[in-house]
Amino acid sequence: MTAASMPTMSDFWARVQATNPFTVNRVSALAHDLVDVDAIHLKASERLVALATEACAERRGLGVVLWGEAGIGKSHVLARLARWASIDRHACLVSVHNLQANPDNLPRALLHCILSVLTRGRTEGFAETYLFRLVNSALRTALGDPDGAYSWKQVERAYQELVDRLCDTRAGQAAIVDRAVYDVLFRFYYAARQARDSGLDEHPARSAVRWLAGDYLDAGDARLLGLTPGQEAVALADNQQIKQVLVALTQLAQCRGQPFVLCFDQVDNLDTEQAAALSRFLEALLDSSPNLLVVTAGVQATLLSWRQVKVIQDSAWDRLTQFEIALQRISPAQGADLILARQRQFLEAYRELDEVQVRLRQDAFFPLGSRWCEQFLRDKIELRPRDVFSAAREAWYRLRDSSRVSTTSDGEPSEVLSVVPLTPAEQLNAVDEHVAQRLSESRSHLVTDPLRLPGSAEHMIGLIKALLQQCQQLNLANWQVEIPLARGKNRPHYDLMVRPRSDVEAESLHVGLAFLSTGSAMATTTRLRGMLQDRNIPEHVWIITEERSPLALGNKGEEYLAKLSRNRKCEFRVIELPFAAYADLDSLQAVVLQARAGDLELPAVGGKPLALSEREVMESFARQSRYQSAAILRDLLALQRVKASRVPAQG
Amino acid sequence: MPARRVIADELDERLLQILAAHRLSNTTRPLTVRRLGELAGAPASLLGKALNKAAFRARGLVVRQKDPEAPVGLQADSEDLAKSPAVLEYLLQTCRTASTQAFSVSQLKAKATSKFQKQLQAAIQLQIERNELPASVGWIMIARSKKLFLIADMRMGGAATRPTSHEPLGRETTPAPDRALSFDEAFAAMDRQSGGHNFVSLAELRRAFPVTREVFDAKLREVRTSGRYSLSAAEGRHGLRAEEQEAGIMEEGTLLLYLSRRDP
Repeated sequence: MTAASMPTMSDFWARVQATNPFTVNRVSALAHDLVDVDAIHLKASERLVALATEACAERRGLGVVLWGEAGIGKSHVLARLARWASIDRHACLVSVHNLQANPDNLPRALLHCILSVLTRGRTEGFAETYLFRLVNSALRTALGDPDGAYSWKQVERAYQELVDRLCDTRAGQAAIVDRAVYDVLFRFYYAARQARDSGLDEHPARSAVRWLAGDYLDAGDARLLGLTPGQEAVALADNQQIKQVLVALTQLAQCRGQPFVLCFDQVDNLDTEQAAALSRFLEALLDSSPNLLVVTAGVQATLLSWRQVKVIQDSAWDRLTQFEIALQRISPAQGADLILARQRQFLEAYRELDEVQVRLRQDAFFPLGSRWCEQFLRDKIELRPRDVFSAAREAWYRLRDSSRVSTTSDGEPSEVLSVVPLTPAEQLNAVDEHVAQRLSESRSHLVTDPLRLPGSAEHMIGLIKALLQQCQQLNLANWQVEIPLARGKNRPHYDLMVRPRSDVEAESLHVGLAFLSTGSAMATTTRLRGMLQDRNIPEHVWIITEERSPLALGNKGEEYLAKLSRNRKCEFRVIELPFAAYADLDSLQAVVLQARAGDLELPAVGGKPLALSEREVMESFARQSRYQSAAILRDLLALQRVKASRVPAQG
Repeated sequence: MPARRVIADELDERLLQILAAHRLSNTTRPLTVRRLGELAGAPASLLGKALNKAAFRARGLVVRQKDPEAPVGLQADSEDLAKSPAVLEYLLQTCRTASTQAFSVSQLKAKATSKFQKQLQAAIQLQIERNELPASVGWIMIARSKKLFLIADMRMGGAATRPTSHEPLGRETTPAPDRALSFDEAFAAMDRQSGGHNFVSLAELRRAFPVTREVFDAKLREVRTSGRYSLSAAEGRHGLRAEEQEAGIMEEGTLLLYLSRRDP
């Protein structure tokens, strides 16, 4: 390092002022750059790795529950598992966040999420995806000598023989092996490979991914994949077929010698109906999958109470919690290690500075200082990692504040100031600031990694429903939100109905929302035709799509859309959500769910951490007009205001 | 005594401040009158007087008069109080006897202070309609009337056992041992009884290891300090009973309620 680029102590203190190494006190992404103290929760981490290895080696489906209180390190342990999975490709791991779909649609939303991760959300260049590598591994296994030269016919024959062997592996196995799924996987591989090697069109691969993810296909696309189209668009029929796709993926991972790991963090923030549906589906999946580890993580008290009141049926419970791993509080000495680890990372850039080295020799906890550390840890019997980070973060802020009061020539603070309790008004401001910070973090994670936010209609329906209900709970709106029942085998015309509450006068909101996040023009046409034929068409019909999957329209669809636009009985809109707006909506719900899971704590307000409730978060949103400025909600709330203004005043 | 009067004069305002702070600190479970008094450092005799003062009655709300176990809150929060699982559980506990353990909403509301009854009735009815009753409470139709009961009072057939984390007050479930159980034995017994998840509520453990609170807490500190056991917070979305709130240990602003053995 040259003298010119060498940082100085002034730079060091300036960085102390500008940043805080303890700001992040929770793992909200399966980060690969974790600041880690390996000894903390080491056994839990090792056990998870051992179980994943066992699932693959023994060709079994295993369920493990990772539980403990909020802030104890569950997400951190899962992040470690993800890091292990990615190093040397130990495992195929998919982490599922914030499932929002309605209970009936949860399996499809889950499948969509998994396929999205395995293909990195790509719409081209599929040969670079993990899904491609999975099929490739199966083919190598099928061929025996993968280095030989084979015609596509030979490759396909070997693959079919492999599928035959999979059917023969266990008695009754044929029932859970769906050849159509394997055929589509092969066609996906073929198309992706041809596109890579010969520059051919990847459309069949794209269609295969959509079908495997549970989306609808038009007849022509279905034929490309060897599927038999009927009158309607083609899709995986039911949860059984969805399960069969997942079983096939675990089989392919087996050929690759990798366990397939599904991680569900913060399951305790699901609604009870969602938890019930998810547990039933995962139980069936575990029973059928030969190479699967399902990790569910959550607060132990909530999960046990769900079992007690049968939200999770006994058989599903036994399957999902076949193994229990509990995380417990850490010792004060481990707390000190955490502080050192975070500071060590912060100091990395200044390690060469003589003065830093001297100060570290004098006080290992520089710059926070041993005195603060000893004072904080004194008399503590055990504590949560989050408590350590929260306290250290506040101490760091005080260190910065004190430097504004009194500093040396280098900008070094003279002493750490003491805590000043907040007034109620300041406390509300602190809540708003903290909620805003969490929203910003959540949004930033989604923007950085859009795969975390599935573009599936199922997710959008659940998300918008939850947010509309929050507006109702806060009396921002007088509506009630319903999910219309399916008409026989057909989907209802609308996914959500916003109606006036029964106790509200007639001049009120009546909106049908349809979420059309499909690439199938045929499926879109069917929905639009249904709306046109609806004798009780709502006053407002809004079709909502997301920018990553805009409305797919054929000739008929265009025609129906035009007719709907001209329909005088209703106001018709097509809303294409920009990803940023969708991320904003999802972040609102994500922060509410963090509060529900007890995972949203305002650090050291008046000296004590303050856990924020769902209600407080929602009230903060309302104070900050976040509902009123969010896409869709903004329009619905405005619409209701217009309606309400038309109601004549009583008396 | 002048000094005593000064304390009493200030006490009603102090109680209201504590209730406001409790609300701000987001403890969804309301305080009991007894706990409120403890937090204010008020003797029972002064507490009763302070609760009856006009200033307190204008802003405070005691769910049932003259009961130290009654939940208490601010009138401004009466809506939340009416919806609170703790209040419903308290009313059921108050109504229940050895021979009658299911009650209509009207019977339950009758136990509450009159100015709170209407709001309470509406809140419970709504919870029933929306299927939002707390997990600890169920209802059954008897003679065309919906009767609510504590899940813990339910008896199940076969090998099933009733839930153990919610024992009605005043009843012992652990058979009296021939000799006093050690702390470890009491923990093991309670752990077995609650499913073997290494997660025992202090409320149950205090019953199974019946010593004074001071002795119990000292023992608890000892087994934690020696690294044999670990406490965790009273979290979860199912709410807390008054007994659990009382049984927990307050540490750094967090109520610790569940005890687990540490791995050797």
